[in-house]
Amino acid sequence: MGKKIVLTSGKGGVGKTTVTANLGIALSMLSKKVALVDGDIGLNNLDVVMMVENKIVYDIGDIAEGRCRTKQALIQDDCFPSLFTLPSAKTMDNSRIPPRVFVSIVNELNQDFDYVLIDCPAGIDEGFHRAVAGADEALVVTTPHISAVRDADKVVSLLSTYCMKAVGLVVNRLKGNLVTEGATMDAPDIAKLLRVPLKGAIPEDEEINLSSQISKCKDKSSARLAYLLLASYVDGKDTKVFDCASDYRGFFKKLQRVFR
Amino acid sequence: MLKNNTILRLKRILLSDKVNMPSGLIQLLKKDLLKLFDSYFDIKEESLKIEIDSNADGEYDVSIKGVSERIKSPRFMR
Repeated sequence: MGKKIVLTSGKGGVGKTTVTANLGIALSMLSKKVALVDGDIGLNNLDVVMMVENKIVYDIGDIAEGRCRTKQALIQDDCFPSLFTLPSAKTMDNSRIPPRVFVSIVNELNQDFDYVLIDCPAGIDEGFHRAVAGADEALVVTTPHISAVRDADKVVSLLSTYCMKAVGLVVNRLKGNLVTEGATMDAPDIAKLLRVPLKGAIPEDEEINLSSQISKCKDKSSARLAYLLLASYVDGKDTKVFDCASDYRGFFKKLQRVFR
Repeated sequence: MLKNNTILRLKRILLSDKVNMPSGLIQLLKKDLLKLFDSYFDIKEESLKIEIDSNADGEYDVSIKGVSERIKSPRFMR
């Protein structure tokens, strides 16, 4: 039996899908068997971020309607053999995959995988309920923007009604230079406001914007290091969180950045 | 500092979301307090800061801070 973790945010565009994909990649780098489930029915993007969109034969809708078995719909990653993606139904009516069916699919995956990561849709309606109902832990993803933090706060309140074993916070797209200048909030500031333990801080990284995957980034890329720390935290090996502002503090760090 | 202003603003928004406190409450309170303080101090509107937070017991922590350059002679002493 593994862990079933939903990645949610309330607000759209904060990077839930990117965080889900890269946390999955980072966990498989730690030799864990991971299934990524796209819970965003109709607005699926996890397949694109994982670069498996051309390999889809069956999706979660086919499993729900009995056209295939769960294992048949899973797509194995090219680089990481222990990483699988379950694509969502792109044309299916949202109501045709009821929460009960979604939960049973996630539970089936949970028998074979160390981690089942569920990419939750934006908003707090039916899709949110379905994705959250399948999980026993939650990671709330936000950016430092006020509107995203406000929505994250509402999601944290909602999650308290779902009897989650653990709820953690991941602050995505942090700009270290702005944090150092005091122009934007740092991840610990946001965690303190939301009263949720901070499990990860992910810096804004051009390489991630271009490739979407840490496996395509340089070994020393800050986003790659941040995701590996997040994976260690989730896996219970470490409680360190990446310091996005560390590269911008002090004269020598600034010099190092210039020559990196 | 911009960050501190953002945190303050966000605290206000989150609090009003949680307790259904109208977002204009602080502005109304500020207006009334300025009227009151004006009888005793020379006080500028921008120097008056009001913060409302909720504590672990669900009570409200209200803090009011203002800067004045001069105390006026209270009316009852005239």
